[in-house]
Amino acid sequence: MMVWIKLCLRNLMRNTRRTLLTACIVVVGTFVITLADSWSTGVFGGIMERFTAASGHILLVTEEFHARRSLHPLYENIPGADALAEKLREIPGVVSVDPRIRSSVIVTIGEEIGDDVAMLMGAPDRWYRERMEMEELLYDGTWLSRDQGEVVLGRRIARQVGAGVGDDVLLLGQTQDGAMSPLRATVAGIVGGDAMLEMQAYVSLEDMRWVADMEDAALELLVYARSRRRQDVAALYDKIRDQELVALDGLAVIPWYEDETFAGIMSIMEGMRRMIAALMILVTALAIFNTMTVSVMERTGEIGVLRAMGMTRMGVMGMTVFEAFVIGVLGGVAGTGLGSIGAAYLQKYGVTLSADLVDRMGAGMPIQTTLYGEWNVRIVLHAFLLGVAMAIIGVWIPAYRAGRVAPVIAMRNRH
Amino acid sequence: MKRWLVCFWVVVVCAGWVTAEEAALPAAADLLREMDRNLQFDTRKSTTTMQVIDRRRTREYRMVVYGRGLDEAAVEYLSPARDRGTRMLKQKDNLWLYMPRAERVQRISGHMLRQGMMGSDVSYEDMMDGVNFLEQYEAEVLDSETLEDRPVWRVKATAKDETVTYPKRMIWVDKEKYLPVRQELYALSGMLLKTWTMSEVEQIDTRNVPTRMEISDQLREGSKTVLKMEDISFGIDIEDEIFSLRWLERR
Repeated sequence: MMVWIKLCLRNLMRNTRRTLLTACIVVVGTFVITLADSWSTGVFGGIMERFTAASGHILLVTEEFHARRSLHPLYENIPGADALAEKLREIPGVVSVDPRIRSSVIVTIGEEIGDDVAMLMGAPDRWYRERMEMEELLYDGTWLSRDQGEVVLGRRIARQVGAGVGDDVLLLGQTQDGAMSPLRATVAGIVGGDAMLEMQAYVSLEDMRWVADMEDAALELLVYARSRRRQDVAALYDKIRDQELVALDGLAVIPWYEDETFAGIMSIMEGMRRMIAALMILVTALAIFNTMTVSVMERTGEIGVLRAMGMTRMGVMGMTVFEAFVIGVLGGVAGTGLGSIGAAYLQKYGVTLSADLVDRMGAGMPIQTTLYGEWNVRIVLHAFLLGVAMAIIGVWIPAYRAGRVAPVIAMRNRH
Repeated sequence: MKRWLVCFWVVVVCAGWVTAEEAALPAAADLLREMDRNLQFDTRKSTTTMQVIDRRRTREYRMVVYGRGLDEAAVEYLSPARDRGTRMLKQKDNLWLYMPRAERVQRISGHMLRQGMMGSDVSYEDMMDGVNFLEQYEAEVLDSETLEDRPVWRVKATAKDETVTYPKRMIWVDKEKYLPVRQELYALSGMLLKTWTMSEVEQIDTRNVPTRMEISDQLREGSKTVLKMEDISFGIDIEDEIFSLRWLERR
């Protein structure tokens, strides 16, 4: 064993250029894997975070609304939503419950009612500020400061109707009975930086209730657990289902991971993430494999001499694999180290894309214009182990084949 | 031979009966003219209660309705409190809406015309379309039947211009009152869009006036709208300003 290690280290030092070149490939490979994994994990996690913040960890709607949710029927609302929310807050594990109403409206600034449609949302101020962190997404103006008569517009809808901060806009919606219902409001601010927000407008819950003629009702109740982690939400979901404190007859209780729309989007996103990750790994692995193979093939003659001097096939295999292991470890440490610096940068500063690009890409999805990465030990360990594994796999077959060549033939090939 | 003779006489009698029945059918144009005479006016004012009934709740609106010919109409909502002061004005092909909460006059156009007025089964388009049966439709009297114990003619009306809101109508015309007591309103495709009934007929001056209408949008499950008209007066002087945009914003 010690002989293998000594020989291996001597081999590594003997041709430093070759060793460095091979290690460099491992460095580049693990660096790319660390960075790609960090970025895709961050972007994917960001979307999950925004989505669960926007739609609640657990969503409560009427069963009729749930069955026809694509039509968004306002008349299928939850009467007495405030009292119900109050009771739900008493269930242990429930951190907050927020009523919300959403409905499409025509946004108009002139006299003629046009065709510029936005999704108008009404929710408690605390929900906007704490859950959605809307103030941080302000592009212009301020967040809602009054209970009535103010609106914050998404950047795209504001641009479409030509509205700016301080302008009076008319939001023409419908009551729950389908009657035309207008709301005149002053534009307090404009939000952007998230494809989901671009075509939405935000008013107070009071104003939205007036538009929809709902008094104390809400279309949705958004329930939040301690975290969006699946196990926390599942535990709270079980508690809500099993409790007898609040009657939930006629209501559909949907944890975020069972939301059909979300599940559909997320499976596509997860598929894309895995495909990108697999492609990166494949390309990197091929590069490492190729360099390691060439490195061993070049030394077929030397292997023949070692075999002639009495080294066994297992000895040859062990020596080359250990060489690959050392190169993999050194390259992996350097590559994941560099990758971690890049990932930390992505985590802190992210990559900012143009709003138009995100809008086209996102199509209403909660994708922010600045896409952040995420650094964690799993990502580093994953990239490091992949680098070492690829280096070892890269030498395995040529080392095995070199070990099988007769010493005489191997030595003849040396010349 | 005797049997053949009996058969021959049966056929002759039946044919004669059918021909007599056909001969008894009135000319469709006459029916349309009489209906127009009852339903059209120079000026009209009424207080109307609109009850919108759907599966979940019933809402009631009270309004004053002014009309001048087929081209001009004005509506002011008196209740409920939420909609008090809402005004609508029709001028030929234009429809404006003033909503106090918005403090702005808005013109209703495009797809919004097909929306239910205050969420009712009566669309803004229905309000826009002052029907002139004789001018707009070609009709054919199909037969005579009884509808809710009253004798009626069944008339099939097809629009001369297909761009009207309802290109096809099946009309049950009261034989004595000359009113479309029931109508089925169809799209060009033949799809039934609405049913519209008129009842509680009162004679005002020389015309028969239905004071209750029931409209049911067939595309809205379990929904109907009942219009009840009170204090109807015809041929009165209505100030010109009521049919102007200025009136919409007048306090």
